[in-house]
Amino acid sequence: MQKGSNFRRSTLAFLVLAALAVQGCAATAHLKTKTLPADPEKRRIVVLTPDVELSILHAGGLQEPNVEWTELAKKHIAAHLTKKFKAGNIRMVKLEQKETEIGQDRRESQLRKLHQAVGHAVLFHQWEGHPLALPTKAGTFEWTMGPEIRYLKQKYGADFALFIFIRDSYASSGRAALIFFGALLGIGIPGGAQVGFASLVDLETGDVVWFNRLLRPEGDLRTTSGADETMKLLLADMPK
Amino acid sequence: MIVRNLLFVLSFCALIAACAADDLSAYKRGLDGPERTPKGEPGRGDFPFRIGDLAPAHKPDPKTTEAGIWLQVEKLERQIKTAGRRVQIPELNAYVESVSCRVAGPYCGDIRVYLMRSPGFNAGMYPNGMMHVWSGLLLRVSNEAQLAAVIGHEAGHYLRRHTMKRIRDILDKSNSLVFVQLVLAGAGIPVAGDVAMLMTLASISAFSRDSEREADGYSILLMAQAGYDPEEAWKIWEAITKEKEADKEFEAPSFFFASHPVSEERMEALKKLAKLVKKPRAVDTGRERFLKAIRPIRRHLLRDELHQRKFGPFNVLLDRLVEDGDNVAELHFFRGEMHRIRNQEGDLAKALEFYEKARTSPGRAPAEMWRSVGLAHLKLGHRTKARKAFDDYLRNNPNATDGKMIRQVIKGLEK
Amino acid sequence: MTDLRKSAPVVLILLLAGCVGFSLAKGGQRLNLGQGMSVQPAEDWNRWAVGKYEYWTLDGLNLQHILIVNGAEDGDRLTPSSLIGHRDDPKEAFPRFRKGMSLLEVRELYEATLAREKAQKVVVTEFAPAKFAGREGFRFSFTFQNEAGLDLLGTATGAIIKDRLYMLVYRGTKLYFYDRHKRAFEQILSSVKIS
Repeated sequence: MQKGSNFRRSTLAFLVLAALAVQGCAATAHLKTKTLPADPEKRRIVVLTPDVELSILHAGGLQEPNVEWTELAKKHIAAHLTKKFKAGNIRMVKLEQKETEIGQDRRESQLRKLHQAVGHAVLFHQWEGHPLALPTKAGTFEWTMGPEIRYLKQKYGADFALFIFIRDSYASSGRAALIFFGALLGIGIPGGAQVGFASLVDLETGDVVWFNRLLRPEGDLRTTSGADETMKLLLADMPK
Repeated sequence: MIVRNLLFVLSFCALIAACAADDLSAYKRGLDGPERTPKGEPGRGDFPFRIGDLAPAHKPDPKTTEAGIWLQVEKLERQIKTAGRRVQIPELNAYVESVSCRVAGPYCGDIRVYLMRSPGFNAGMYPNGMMHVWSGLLLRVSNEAQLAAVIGHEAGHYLRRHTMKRIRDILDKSNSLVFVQLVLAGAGIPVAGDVAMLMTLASISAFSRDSEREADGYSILLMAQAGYDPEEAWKIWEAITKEKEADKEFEAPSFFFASHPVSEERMEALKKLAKLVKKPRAVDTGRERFLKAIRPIRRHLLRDELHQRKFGPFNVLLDRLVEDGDNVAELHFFRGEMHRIRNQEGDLAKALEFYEKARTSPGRAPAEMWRSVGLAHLKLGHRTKARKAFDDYLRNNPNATDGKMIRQVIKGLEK
Repeated sequence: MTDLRKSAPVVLILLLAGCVGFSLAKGGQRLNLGQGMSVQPAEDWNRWAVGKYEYWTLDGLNLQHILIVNGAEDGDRLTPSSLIGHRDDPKEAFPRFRKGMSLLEVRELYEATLAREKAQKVVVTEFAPAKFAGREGFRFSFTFQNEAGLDLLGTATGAIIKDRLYMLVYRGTKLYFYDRHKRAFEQILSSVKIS
C-alpha cells in the first residue's frame, strides 16, 4: 500500500479523537429548535436504520463485535423509540426498505452520503473553543443539508429524519483483570465505553435541528432498563 | 468513513486477508514445511491441498466471533457497492464475475468480486466472501488463467477461513501481550514494551505466511479443476518481482519480517504444485477473452499508474506489456508520456521518439497523443512543430474540453 | 493503519499546544497571506494555513473549501502532505510542480494530485484561459467522487508568475454546498492581488 495515502483522513479521525479527549464530555447537545410543529400532521419522523454495534473489549484493547448483544440492543432501542414517540404524540414512519435498495436509487444514495458528510462536518467542527471549531460558527448551531432533501420527505412521507449511531463496548474478564492490576501499579486503563451521536434533520429545509453526542465509560444497552437510560441521555433535548 | 475509521481502527486492521503483493514473504518457509490439510480430510494422493469441509452458503452461528466480524464486514460491503472506488463497467464486472464463478465452482454464490479502481497489484478477501480485486492487477496478469490464479488464491483464503484464524491469532497475542507490557511499564521500562510488540507482529506475520502458502495451493487446485493451465500461476510472480526491483523507493523488509528472495521461492513452490496437480484434459489460458475485456479500460489504468510517478516500475510494466503485444501503439504512447512527464535530460527527445513509434505501430494510441507531442515540442522550443501538433490535436478532437486553452497556446506560437 | 499509530501522539501534542487550528479571516479586510499574495473576502471565512497552502471553508472542509496555493516552487506539491505541519520529503514519488511547466501541464499535474488524494472518477469538463490576479492564467472545472462515492464539483484557477504557481481551487459537494458558496469564492478570487 502507498504510504501516506490515508494520511489526511486518518489525521482528521485523530483530530476528532483528540477533540473528544479534550472535551471529556458525557453528552453534549446542540439544538436549533426545542419544539416540533404543533400540527399533528407535521410531526412525522422517519427513523433511519440505527447504526449500532456492541462489542467485547479484549484485554489487548481490540474490540470484537457481538451479534447477539447488538440484536438485543437494536430491539431495545426500537422499543424505546416507539414508547417515546407515542408519549410525545409523534408519528413514527416505518422504513420498509432493505439497506441494499438504497444504492439502487441514486438520488437517495447521494442524499444519504451527503447526510453522512454533514454529520462528519458537525463532528469535526462543532467544538467550542477547540482548534477545529469554525470561528464563523462560534456560539451557533447552523448546519444544513440543503433543500434537495425534500426528495426524501416525499419518498418517506415524513417531516423529519432521526439518525442514531452507537458503539458500545464491554470489558472482557481479561480486560477487567488488567484494569485491576493496572490500578495496583497506579496505571489507569480504560474499560468499556459508550460512544454515539444522534441527529434530527428537517426534511423540508435540510436543517440539522438537533444533534447530540455521547461519550462515557458506562451504560448498558443489553438490558431494557439500561437501554432506556442510555436512550434518555442520547435523546435528551430532542425537540418535542 | 472518518468516524468508522476512528472507531474501528483496531478491528478493521485485521479484517482483510493479507495478500499477494503485500506479502511476498509468504514463501519464506517454502513447500517443505509441515503439511496442512483441512480437518477431517487426510492427505491422500500427491497434492497437499484439498477443498475443506466448509459447505457452500456457510453462515456463522450468531454466538461466534465470526458472526461479529461478518456484521461489520457486511456493513462495509453495503458501502462498497456505491463507493467511489468501485469500478462500474457492466461488461467488465460481468467478465470478472464469470471467471470467479468458473474458479469457485460450487462456492460461486459465496464469493462476490468487487473490482476496485486503484493502481498497483493487489487483491483481498474478507471473511464473508467479499473479494476486492484492484484494477491495477488487470495490468499485471496477462491472461484469464493468471486472473483465475489470483481469484483462486483469494478463494483459498475464504475456504480455509484464514482471515478468521488471523483475527483470533491477533486477539490472543494482543491479549497476552498487554499483560507483558503492563508488567514492563510497572517496572519502568516502557521501551521494552515496543520490542514485545515487534515480536508479536513478527509471529503474526509468520502465521500469515503459512496462510499465503496454503492459499497458493488452493489456487493451483482450483485452476486445474476449472480447466485453466496451472503453469500460468508462477509467471505472475516473475513479472511482479521485476517491477518491485525497479522500485527504488520500495523499502527492504526488516530482518524481523522477511528476507529476499522470497518471491523466487514462491515461484518455485508454484511450479512444483503445478507439476503435482492432476491436470485437466484440455487446458486454457483464455488470453483473447481477457484482452477483449480489459481493452476498453486499459489506458485509464495505465494513466492511474503514471499518476504514481514511479517511473522505473512503470517502465518495467510497459516493457512486459509490449512483449505481450496487445495494442502496442497505446503502450508506446505511454512510454512517451513517462519520458515527457519525468522530463530529465534527454527525456523529451525520447518522448517524441516513442510518440512517433506509437503512430506507426499496430493498434491505436489515444487521440490526446497530439497534445502530448505538442507539449514536448513546446518544451524543446520547436515552435513550428508544436503548432502543427496542437493543430492536429484540435482536428482529431474537435470537441476537446481544453480546446480554448490549446487555441490560446497556438496563438502564442504564431507571434 | 500504521500512519494512524505513528501520527497520533504528534497530533495530540500539536493540538494541545494550540499550534494549529482555524482562524478567522475577517470580511471586508485585506489579508496578507505572505509571499506578496493578498485577498479581501467580503464575508467572514474560516482559514487553516499550513506552509504555502491554505484551506478556507464556511461549512466544513469535507462539504466545501477553497485551497490556496501560494507560490508553489520547483519540486513543490499542489497540496500539503498533511494538514498538521506540511513536511514533505522531496524524494518521495509524488506529482510535483516543476520550473518551466506550461499552464497545460498544470491541469495534468492537478489531475495526478487528485488521483493521489484518492479522488475517483475525475473528469475535467472545461479548460480555458482566464485572468488571475491581472495576469494571463487558466481555469478548469472538474467533477469527481470522494471515496464514499459522494459527487463533488471543483474549479481551479491560477497563473504562473516568476516560476511560481499561484492557484485557487474551489471544491464542494454537487448537492447544495458547491453552489451555496460559489459566489463567495468568485468574490475572493476577484480580490486576489500578487505583488
